[in-house]
Amino acid sequence: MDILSELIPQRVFMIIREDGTVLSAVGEKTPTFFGYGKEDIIGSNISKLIAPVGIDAFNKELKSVELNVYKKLDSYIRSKSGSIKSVLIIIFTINTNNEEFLCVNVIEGKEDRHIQQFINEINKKILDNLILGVMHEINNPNNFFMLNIPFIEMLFDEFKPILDKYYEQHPDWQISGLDYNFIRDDFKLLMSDLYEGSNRIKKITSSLADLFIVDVAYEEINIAGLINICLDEFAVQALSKNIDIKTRYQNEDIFTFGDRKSLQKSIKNVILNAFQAVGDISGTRSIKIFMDCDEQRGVVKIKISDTGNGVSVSNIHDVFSPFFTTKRGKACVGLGLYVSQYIIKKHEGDIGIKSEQNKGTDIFIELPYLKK
Amino acid sequence: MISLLVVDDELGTLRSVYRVLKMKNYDVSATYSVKEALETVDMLQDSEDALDIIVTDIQMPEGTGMDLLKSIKDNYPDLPVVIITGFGSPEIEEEFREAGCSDFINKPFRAEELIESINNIVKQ
Repeated sequence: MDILSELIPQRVFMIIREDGTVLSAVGEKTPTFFGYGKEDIIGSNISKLIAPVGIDAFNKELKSVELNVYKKLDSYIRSKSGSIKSVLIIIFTINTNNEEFLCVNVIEGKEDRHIQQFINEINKKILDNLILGVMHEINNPNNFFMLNIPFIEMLFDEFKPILDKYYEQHPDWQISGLDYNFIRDDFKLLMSDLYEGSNRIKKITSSLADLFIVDVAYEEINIAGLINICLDEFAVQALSKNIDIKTRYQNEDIFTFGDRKSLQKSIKNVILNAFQAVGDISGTRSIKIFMDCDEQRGVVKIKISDTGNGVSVSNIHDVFSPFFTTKRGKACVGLGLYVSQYIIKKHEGDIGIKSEQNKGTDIFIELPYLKK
Repeated sequence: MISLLVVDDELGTLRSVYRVLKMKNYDVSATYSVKEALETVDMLQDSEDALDIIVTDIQMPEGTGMDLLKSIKDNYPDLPVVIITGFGSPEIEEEFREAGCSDFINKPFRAEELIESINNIVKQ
């Protein structure tokens, strides 16, 4: 059930040419938009939809819209029957595959919370494009390192016997002030450091993609089901590392409203953090997940507790900061909990931590409770 | 001997991939545009130097990897196309797989990933 469509039944998203011709129109599960069917809109000029009282302002905004910046204006639609309806119009351009698209979103309704949600979706689309572009510009040159480092190693291995022979005859041989002996033994480490750097860049861009490049689709989500799906991904690891997992849910029918993929990612990151905390310790390796609901406050509460080594006082305030990690040498980028916090806050929820060194960690998540 | 065509407008990538494939003794041709790639395929495919696989980037001037893929699927449906790209989104991957690419590899990738992909295609 698309609750937003019920509350805002009239909404259409159009891609238009610079001259105002509508190229495509998508509506939210409604066959008509203010009386217009798709066949009325596509191919026509968008000015046909705008009431005369709003047309000048609309054309002015249309002419001045910039790439990746949206314009918002209160305006008026002339419905097919001739009546005038007040709407919110959002205009923006995005660049996809070197093509620019001029997009117009027309929404009926003045309920700010829902309009803000649509604005968030548009901002997300704009941000997605920026992120994709940046990723592309980083991933391409990073590929030069990843592909060529093994090649250089191979070349050095081929040259080594010749260099070794020369060194036998010239035991004082230095290259750039360093003994050949040192360079020969250090070379593998040198290449390994370069490769690790390249790998780390790759993980960062992947994490950024995880954070931002997700098609957002809001729906009702059963929390117990969501947590169980996340835990399934860790089943093998739990067995192999002898980690005891326990869950306790107040009941199995507690729901929130949100984007399933991103909420799953956010909870999975927190569980992964717990696994990393207990994975290598010598004592009890246990993770417990509690879930209940505070109907009065309208929140679903999730607590993920682990028996790991906990977080020190000096680090506790940084755990949700981007790129913070105590495991950098173990290929951790430090974006997992940041991503979780970002997603949960986007869902109007909250996340917090309670931890003491050697006493384990509790992470608390709150999400809006959906009353059914 | 496996014969490949690599298409990428980034010279650094083109040279790097060329090296990786040459090290495996593949017969490798390289070009940096879709137009030249299509001309090369048209020239070679009916000869004894026919290509076995095309490896292509997505974003190129004067034609994209999708243009190349669609043209290959229309004219040489049995010629596998592997996509290599710095745009790592699952949605883009789905689009290319639906259009018929044989594999989709995100940059940056290790040499072994590309070789494994080629070997899997050749086995099929």
